[in-house]
Amino acid sequence: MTKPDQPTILCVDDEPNILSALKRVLRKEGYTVLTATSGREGLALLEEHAVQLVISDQRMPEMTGAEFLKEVKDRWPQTTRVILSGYAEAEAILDAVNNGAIFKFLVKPWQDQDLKQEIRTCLAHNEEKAALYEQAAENRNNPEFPVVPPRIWSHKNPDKQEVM
Amino acid sequence: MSAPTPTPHEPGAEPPEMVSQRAFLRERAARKQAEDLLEEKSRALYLANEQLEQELAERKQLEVHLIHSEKMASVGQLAAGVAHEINNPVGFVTSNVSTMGEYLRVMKTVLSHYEALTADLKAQLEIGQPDQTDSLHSLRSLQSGLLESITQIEALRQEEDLDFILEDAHQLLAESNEGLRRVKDIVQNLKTFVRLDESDVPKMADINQCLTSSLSVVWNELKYKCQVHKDFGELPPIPCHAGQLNQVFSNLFVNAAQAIEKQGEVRVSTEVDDGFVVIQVTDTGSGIPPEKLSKIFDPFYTTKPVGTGTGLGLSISHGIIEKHKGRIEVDSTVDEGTTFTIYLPITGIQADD
Ligand SMILES: Nc1ncnc2c1ncn2[C@@H]1O[C@H](COP(=O)(O)OP(=O)(O)O)[C@@H](O)[C@H]1O
Ligand SMILES: [Mg+2]
Repeated sequence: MTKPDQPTILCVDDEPNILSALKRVLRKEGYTVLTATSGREGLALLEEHAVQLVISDQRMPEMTGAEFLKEVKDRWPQTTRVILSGYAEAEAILDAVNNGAIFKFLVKPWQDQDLKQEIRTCLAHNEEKAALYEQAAENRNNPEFPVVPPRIWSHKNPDKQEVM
Repeated sequence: MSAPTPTPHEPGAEPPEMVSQRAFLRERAARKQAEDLLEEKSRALYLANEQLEQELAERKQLEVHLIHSEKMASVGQLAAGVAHEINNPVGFVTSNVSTMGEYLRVMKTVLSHYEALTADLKAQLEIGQPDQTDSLHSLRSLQSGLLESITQIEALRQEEDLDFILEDAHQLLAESNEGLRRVKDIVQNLKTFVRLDESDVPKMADINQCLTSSLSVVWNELKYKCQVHKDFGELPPIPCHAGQLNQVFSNLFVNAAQAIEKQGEVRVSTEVDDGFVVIQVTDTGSGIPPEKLSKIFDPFYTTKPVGTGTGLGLSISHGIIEKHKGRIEVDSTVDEGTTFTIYLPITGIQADD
């Protein structure tokens, strides 16, 4: 996974008009924007492209946003994941936060300016996360790095550690 | 008895008129007593009756209350769906309107460059009389200036994606129009749905239309899981409380959707049969075990988690259908599905039924 010059964002929503609106908002922001109308389509796109940020609706046929993001988290842990939803019961939010390990829960209708700001925050967070992953990989290959991980990491298996 | 008796007569020696007088008095007293008793009895009866009537009124009130609170509960349940259904179009329309503002800003910028160009052209036309050698020189410089402006404008158009914007603006407006139409429809349907028939007067209504508006109100609960087939026959309008029937129908739809775990079908059909409007709602959901069939119309019987089920839907529905002089029947097979059938007499209900 090499990082392209401009960040790639994947938007998933079963409502095509939402996707066109999002593409319009992000048109001049210097991102590569991919869109999918279902979780399954989104997963197929993730297999082809390096994606930094995944924005998903919650209520969708077949696979809910939380279910989709759970799978994204398992297979592409380096992505940053957010939900953009029209309404969510507490249950759906819990599910998304606990299983999809989402970074933010955004609501429809949104204000374009706010959304752009949120997305910048998400991408900044993703960059930090990528740097940590890189650091972790370097450390792992460094023969001088202590075999026993420092205390701060010790509660997790360093091979599987996920840095939020 | 040594006390002197003040009366000189023996009891047996009473004169006849005195005897009848006494009998008369006794009878009067007895009648008075009987009348008092009767009055008391009837007062008690009257009171009891009054109390009964009051209880009946209270009961009716309670029933209205219960119908209302079930409706509120199901409205709460529906709120999620409806909010989602409304916030989606409102979401993209709001965003599109703000994008349109941005497009307008670009168009204005480009237009102002064209305006500057027009002004330059005008100037050129004015000097354009090539009599004096002087003006030939200024014409030259003007021309090169124009050329530069044109190149600048082209570059600006390119940079601002003007062609794309002009193209996309139409698309944006079309999509926004569609979104607004959807919001309008939802609001319209909600209005039909909650027609709280507070007035006790039944109104003529088309059951097919009731079914359609109920379906659209609960659409969000169904659309992700169910293929919905409508098979509507020709129906005469019948006098009914449409708001209450909508409550029954949406209940059946939500129950059907909730009985389907992943994907399934819901079939809604109507027909006229032997003086009845017959409505059937069939699902391919989990079904109901035979030993539970007698329970489902009981108030508070639910197999659903708190927050999803109130257990009131079917018991209220039963009451509403009964009030319409109709009946509701269920037929179910575990793992195959369930059919609810409602029979409503075409004559419907009259006021105060
Ligand atoms: N279409 C159906 N398929 C399977 N079970 C159903 C269906 N409709 C109703 N039921 C059963 O009847 C119970 C009572 O339904 P209802 O009175 O509407 O209350 P609730 O839906 O709030 O549980 C449900 O909990 C469910 O077990
Ligand atoms: Mg129910």
